[in-house]
Amino acid sequence: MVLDTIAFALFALVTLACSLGVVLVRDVFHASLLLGAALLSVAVHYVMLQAEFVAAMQVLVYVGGVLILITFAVMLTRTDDPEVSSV
Amino acid sequence: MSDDPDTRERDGPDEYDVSDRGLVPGLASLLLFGVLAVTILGADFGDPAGLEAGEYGITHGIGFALFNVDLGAFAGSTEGFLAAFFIVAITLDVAIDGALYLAKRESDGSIVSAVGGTFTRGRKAGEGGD
Amino acid sequence: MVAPEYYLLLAAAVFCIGLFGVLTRREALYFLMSVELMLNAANINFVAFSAYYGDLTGQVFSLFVIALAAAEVAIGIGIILVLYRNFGVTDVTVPRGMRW
Repeated sequence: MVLDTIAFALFALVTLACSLGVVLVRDVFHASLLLGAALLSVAVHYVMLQAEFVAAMQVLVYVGGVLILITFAVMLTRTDDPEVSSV
Repeated sequence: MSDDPDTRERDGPDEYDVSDRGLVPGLASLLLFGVLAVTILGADFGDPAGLEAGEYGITHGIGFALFNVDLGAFAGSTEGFLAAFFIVAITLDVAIDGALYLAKRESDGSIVSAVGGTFTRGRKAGEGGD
Repeated sequence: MVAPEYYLLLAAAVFCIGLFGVLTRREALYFLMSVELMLNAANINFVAFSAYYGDLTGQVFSLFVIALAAAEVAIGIGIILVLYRNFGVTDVTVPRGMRW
């Protein structure tokens, strides 16, 4: 029971930190990578909630599909405009 | 601080900087979180009932629920979702068609404007006018 | 199992972070990512209550939410690419043709 709570706290910390990173980081590519980390940690929460199938779908659909799409969009819309951060 | 290339960009006067516009949305988000936290911590969730694996297991149960198959195996703990499944399937189909429509070009290589030329003709990036 | 209040608090925090992102950012890609975060918060709630009450409906519904999020991202990416093609930026405040 205690170990459950410790594991939950650790991964909740990862989820919250990565989510805050998505919102606050200026480079959009780094933001997409942090979004991937946040989605993976949410998948870990699903495993802890006995939802293994949903966790697998989370990894496959979100990390494997949505995140790839977002990364493609980031690469396709990258500008040299100094207004948009280009690291 | 400002010699770090990562933060130097952040210090400069930048239209995209979050900090000059983030105060009111940040306060609004924190307020929403406070309201949600008070509500959650004050709520009574009733009795817990553990997720029973049943005769077939959880993943089997999800599959049965998605296709309205053999609901007796999970009687009382789920319901049929066949109609919702097909609606979501049609929605995904529409989404694929919409994405293709938005992304395609004409045969001569010109761009198909999704909202017609009226809104975008003669406008370049950055000069939106008003 | 961890108490459901903790999962609800986590989901509320993630939702508020996503809301903050939607409210403060101007680039459309950040909009998409923030909306993903908010949908994930809803999914955490679904799965947490599914495990708490022993009801599979929450898990099935979270699968639907995942599918709809994928559809939304597909359309969103198409819109962002059209935006970038026509205006050269992904700033949502630049296109004003449909603004009254």
